[in-house]
Amino acid sequence: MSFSRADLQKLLELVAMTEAKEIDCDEFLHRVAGYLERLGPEGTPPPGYEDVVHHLQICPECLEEFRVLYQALCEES
Amino acid sequence: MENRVPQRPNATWIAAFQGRAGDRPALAELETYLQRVIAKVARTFTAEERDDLVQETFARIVKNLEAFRGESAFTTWAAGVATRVAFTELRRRKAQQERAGEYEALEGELAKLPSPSPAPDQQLERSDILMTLQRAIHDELTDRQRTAILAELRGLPTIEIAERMQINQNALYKLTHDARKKLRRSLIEAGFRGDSLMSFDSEASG
Repeated sequence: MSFSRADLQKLLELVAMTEAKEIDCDEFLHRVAGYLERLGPEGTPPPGYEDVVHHLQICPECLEEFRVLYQALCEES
Repeated sequence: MENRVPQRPNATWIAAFQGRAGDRPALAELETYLQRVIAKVARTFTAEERDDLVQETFARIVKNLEAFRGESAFTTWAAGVATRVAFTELRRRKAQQERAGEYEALEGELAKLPSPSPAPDQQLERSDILMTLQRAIHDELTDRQRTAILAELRGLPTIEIAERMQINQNALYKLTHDARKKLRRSLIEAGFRGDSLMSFDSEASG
């Protein structure tokens, strides 16, 4: 089979984090600005944004975008 | 430090993008701000490319204006849209330049699946959970789900995978989310409950 052991281990982590309802990347994009503006000291996630936190754990592309956006906003403010 | 983020009430931005208020100075300020945001995504974008990406961002903002719910400053939301637009362009280029042919190679690999119950790889013999997962991938997932999951695991950009599958990126997310849910259910039905499944314990019906 084409899934290597490394693929399966990575997939197992994702499967373990899978929830019945998740937001997709578009919904994440529309929610992340509010999340960023409410981040607590030392990056404490604000209440009410659990779906955003979860998406960041599941989606490496959105995580990559989030990091750059966070940095950009810090530098611009 | 000087505050360089354009300051306007959210309603002013919305009116400007709806064309109700011809606030050119405000839009020009936003344009300059978003160009700086885009430059942080990749310094390799030329000034002309940054201009194009800002125009694409403006088009996306107009198209998705209803999705802005006022949870943040409009400029923060717009910066998020610009970041998405710039990364999408970057990933598309990388896929074309560096990863050409990888998607077809994965499809080719998956087409060679040997049998419905493949003999376990010797390396996997000691790992029941990975064997069960492997079996579930084979038995429970569709060809498209297998391909999408493997392509994502191997780091192919989702824009590339979605285009190859002729679906949009949200449909791709749904496809892989449904696949993960099926796999999760299979593992639970097979009796796995331990640390390796973490949150599965409380939500077995997924």
